[in-house]
Amino acid sequence: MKKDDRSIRLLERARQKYKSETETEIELLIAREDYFPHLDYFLDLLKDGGDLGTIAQRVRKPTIALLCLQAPIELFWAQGFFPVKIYSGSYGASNLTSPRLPALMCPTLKAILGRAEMDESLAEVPWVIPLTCDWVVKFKETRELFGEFRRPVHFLEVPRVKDSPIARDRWFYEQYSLSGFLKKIGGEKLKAKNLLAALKVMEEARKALFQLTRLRRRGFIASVFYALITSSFFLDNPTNWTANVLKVVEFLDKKEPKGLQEGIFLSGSPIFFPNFKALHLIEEAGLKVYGDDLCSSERIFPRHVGLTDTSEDGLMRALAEAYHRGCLCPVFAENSHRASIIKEALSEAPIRGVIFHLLKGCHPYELDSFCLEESLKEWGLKYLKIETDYSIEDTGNLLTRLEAFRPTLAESEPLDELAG
Amino acid sequence: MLLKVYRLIVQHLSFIILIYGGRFGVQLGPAVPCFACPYVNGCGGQCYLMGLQGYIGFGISLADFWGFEGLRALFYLAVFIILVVLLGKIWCGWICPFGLFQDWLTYLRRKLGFSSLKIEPETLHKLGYVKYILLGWLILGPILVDLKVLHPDFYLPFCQMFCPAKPILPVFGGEFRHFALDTTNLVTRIVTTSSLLVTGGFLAAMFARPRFFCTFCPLLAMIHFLEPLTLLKLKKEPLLCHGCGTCQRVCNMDVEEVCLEKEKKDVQVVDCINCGDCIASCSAKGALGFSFAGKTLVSSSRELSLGLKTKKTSA
Repeated sequence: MKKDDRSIRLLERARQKYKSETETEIELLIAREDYFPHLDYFLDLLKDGGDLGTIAQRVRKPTIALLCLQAPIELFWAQGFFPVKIYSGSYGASNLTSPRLPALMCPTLKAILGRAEMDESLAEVPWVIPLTCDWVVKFKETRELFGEFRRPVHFLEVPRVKDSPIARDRWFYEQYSLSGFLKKIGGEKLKAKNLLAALKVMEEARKALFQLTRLRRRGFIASVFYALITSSFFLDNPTNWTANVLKVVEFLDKKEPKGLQEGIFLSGSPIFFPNFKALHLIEEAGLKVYGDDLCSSERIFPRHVGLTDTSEDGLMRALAEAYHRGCLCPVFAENSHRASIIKEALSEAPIRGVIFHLLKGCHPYELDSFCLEESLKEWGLKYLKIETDYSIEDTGNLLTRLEAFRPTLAESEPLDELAG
Repeated sequence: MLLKVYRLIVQHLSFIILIYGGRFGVQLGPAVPCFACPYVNGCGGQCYLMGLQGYIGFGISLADFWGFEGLRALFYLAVFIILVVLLGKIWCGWICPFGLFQDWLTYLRRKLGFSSLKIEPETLHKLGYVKYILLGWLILGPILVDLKVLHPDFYLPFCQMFCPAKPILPVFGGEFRHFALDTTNLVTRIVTTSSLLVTGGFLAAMFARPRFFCTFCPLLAMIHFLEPLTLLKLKKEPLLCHGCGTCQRVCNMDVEEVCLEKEKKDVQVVDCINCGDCIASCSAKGALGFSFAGKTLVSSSRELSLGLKTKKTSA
C-alpha cells in the first residue's frame, strides 16, 4: 500500500513520539531511588523497542508475532519458533491509527495497529491471533486497512465456555491446528520430548516469577519494576529471563522486611510498556500495590501445568487446559472464578481495597468490573474504578481520585477469614 | 510434589506390611478396608470383603449367627467401621496394595509413552454402578450358598469369580496357582474361567487407564456408605478455586465433581480415592485440602504445586 507524503510525515512523527515515550519511561524508572542494577537486563531488552529481527538474532530462532497470551507458548518453543507477544502502551502508536478507527476502540489494539504500521519487521513474520475479545477478532481486517501481512496469519478460535467438555475438546484440537500451522511454515514436527522440555522451561520461569510475586506481597518490589520484568518476558530466551528474575529475587530476599502499610490489589485491563501511567499515579497517590490480576503482569503465563501423562496426547491436554480452562480473562462466559485471585492475595498481604484499571473501550473488562464490585463489597473491601487510555490529559483527574481513595482504605473492614 | 512423595512412601510401606507382614509376625486381622489379599501366603492383613463373604459375614448360617460366630462377625464389623471412620478413603489411595499395583502399571504405561484410555464422564459414571452390583453379589452369593440354591463351590463368590487381586497379588508372594483353571467340576470350571477372564480384561484396562479397577471396587462403595462418619475428608473452598480443571485432569479416577463444584465445601464423592493428587497439583492457595475432624491437615498452594519451600507472606 503506497503512502502519501502526509502519511509518511505522520508515521515519522509517531515513531519519534514512540521513541520519546520509551526513553522517558526508562529515564523515570532509572531515576527512582529504589532502582537497583539487577533491573538493567530488563531495561536493556525494552530499549530495543521489540524489533522482531533483533529478537530473532538474540534467541537464534525464527520469530512469530502473537497477538494475545491465549496461545500455548510452549508449543511454539517445542516446534522451533520464538513467539513474541505484540503489545504496546504507546500513545504515539495509538494516535497514529486512532483517526481511522472507532472512537471507543480499545487503545491497546489501536497502539498495536500503530506499532504494526511503524515497525516493518512485523509484516515480515507469521502472525498467530487467538480470537479472544471482539477487537482481536477483527484485528486482521483492521490491520489490512493500513498495511499488509506478507506472511501467513493463523487464527486460534477460543471457545468461550470453559466447563463444557465439547468446548474443551474444540480448544484441544485448535492446538493441533496451531501445531499443523507451525509445521507448515517451516517448524519442526511436534514431538512429546520437545514439548515436555518446553513445559519444563516454562515451569522454571513460572517458579521464578512466583518467587518474585511472593516478594511483591511483602512489599519488597515496586509495581513498576514488577511490570518492567514481566513486560520483557517475550524479548529474550526464557532461560536467560528466568536466570535474571532469580538474580532479582536473590537480591530482594536479602532486604530487611519493613512494617507493611495497608495497600491495594490492582485488577482489570492490562498495562503495557511504555505506558506505566496508572502504576506511577497509584504510587504517587501513596497507595501500595501488593498484587494484580493483569494479563500483562502476574497473569502473563498460566499458573501451573500439572503433569501426569507425558505422552504427546497427555501433554497437549495439559497444555490445552492450562491455557483455556485455567485462563481468567473476562472474555469467557461464567467467569466467576476471577475473584479467587484477589481472595488468595488477601490472605498474603494487607490488601484493603481494589483498584480496577479499565482501558476505555475494553468491554469485557468493563462488564466484569460490575460483577467484581459486588463480590468485593461483600468482602468488606474498598473499590475504585479508574477509566483511562494512553493519553496524559486525564493524569490530574486520576491522581485526585486516587488520593481521595487512599484514606478510605482505613475504613475498610475485610471479613476476618479473608484478611492477611 | 512433596505430597506425592509422601504418598509413594506410605504406599510402598503398606504394600510390604500387607503382602509380606505375616512372614515377620505382623497380622492386622481380617477387617482391613483395602485389598490386602488373604490368598497371598504370609500376608500381613486380610481384606474385609473376604471375611464378609465368609466366616465373619454372610458366610455364617442364620442358626450360627446368634452364637459366638455372630458376635465375632459384629466385632469385626465394628473394627472395619472404626478403621474407615478414622482414615476414610486413605485406605484406597494410600494403603491398598492392589491400588499400588495399578499405579505401577500406569507408571509403566507412561514410561512407554502411551496415552491414557479416554472414557466419557457419563460412561464412567454408568460403569461405576457395577460396584454396587458386585457388592450385592458378594452379599447375596453366600446367602444363596447357605440356602443351597447355589453349589457350595460358589463360596467367596466375589473373590473367586471377579476379584482380579486374587490371582495377581499372590504372585508377589511367589504363588502363581490362581492363574490355573480348576477342573474339579463344572462349577469350579465356571468360577476359575470367570476369574481368569475378568483378571485378563482388568490387567489390560488397568494398563490403559489409571486405577481402572477402583471404579468397580465394591469396597469403595462400602467405604462411601460410611462417608458421613469419616473423619478424613477432601474439602474444597469454592471461592478460592480458579476453575483451571487441573484437579480433574490429574485425577486417577477422572472425578469431575470436585472441579465443577461452586458452592459446597464437602467434595468427597464416591469415586474419589483420596490419593491427594488434586491437592498436590492445585495452584490455588487453600482451594483443596484434606481435613481431619474439621481441622485442615494439608491444603493446596502454589508452593506445593511448584515444589517450592513455603514462605510466610502474610503481613
